[in-house]
Amino acid sequence: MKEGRNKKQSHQRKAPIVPRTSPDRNPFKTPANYFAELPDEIQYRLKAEVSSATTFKFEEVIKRWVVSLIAPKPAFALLTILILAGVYLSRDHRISEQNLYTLSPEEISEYLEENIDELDLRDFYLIDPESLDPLSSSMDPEDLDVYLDELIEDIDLEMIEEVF
Amino acid sequence: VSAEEEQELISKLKDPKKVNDAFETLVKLYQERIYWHIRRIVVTHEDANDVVQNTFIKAYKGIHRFRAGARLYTWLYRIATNESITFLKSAKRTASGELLATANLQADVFFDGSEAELLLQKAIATLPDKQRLVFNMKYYDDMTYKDMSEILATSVGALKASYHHAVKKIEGYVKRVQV
Repeated sequence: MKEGRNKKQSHQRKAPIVPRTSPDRNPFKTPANYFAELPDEIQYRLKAEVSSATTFKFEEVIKRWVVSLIAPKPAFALLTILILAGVYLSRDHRISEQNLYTLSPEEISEYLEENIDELDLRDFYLIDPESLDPLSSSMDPEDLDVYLDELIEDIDLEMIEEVF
Repeated sequence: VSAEEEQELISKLKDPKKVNDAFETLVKLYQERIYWHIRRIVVTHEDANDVVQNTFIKAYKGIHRFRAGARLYTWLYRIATNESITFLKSAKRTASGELLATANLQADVFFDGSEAELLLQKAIATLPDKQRLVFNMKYYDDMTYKDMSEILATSVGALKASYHHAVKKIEGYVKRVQV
């Protein structure tokens, strides 16, 4: 009671602003039963927000998972670059036939010394010369005649006439 | 609410198993004070209803940030004030500086004030937001400057000056209108 009187006195002392008004009278109203229903409304909204937040999180997880499957990852890109770089660096940078014309004899012999070792030469000598050239000197003269006859039979004479 | 009861409520609010029941208790305890604080700032019931719901939902989500030693009452007031100010930033004002809601107060079914009370509300609506807050908290809620200082993060001296300026402006407005 005393507290209420003090409050009123305090109001009267501090704000005699507009006549016929009082800070203790509230001109604003609310709908009927508003404060009885407000806690339920807040709980309802809260549940809806929590539910939508959970759904959002679930959707976000799925989305991230899908993106992780289809989107190029930096690690994958780096791996690709490393593989390509490895393939490039491991390539046999042999001098092409065309480039050989531009090389001096010294450069060619230097290249051969660097790139053909004894093992390569041994492999070269192991190759049967007859398998490379049927006209080799070691061929028997009779076999040579047979070979030439077969070769001549294969030649189309009409085609030769057309050429000349 | 006694200090012991408030501490018990705070500990329940921070307990995941008890938070829902404790939150319902919190709403029932403070809903009317928080609603009227907001209503005086935003004026219409529809807006106040939105803002008060936002306030309690923010409080629920931010309960883990509630610091030990603080009071629920000032913490809720601070959230409500911030929510109201955020709302006001988007609210339209008339050419004379009043809130549009106050200009339409005569047609508001949830306002049954007299001519004098309507005039006072229109005068309050012309105040800058901070002064209006201070005036309402002092004049209607009879809040101490110390509590206001905690809620608004403003010094007591500045709040007193703000209230003084608000009263002068309201008196000036009323005189101009009544002449």
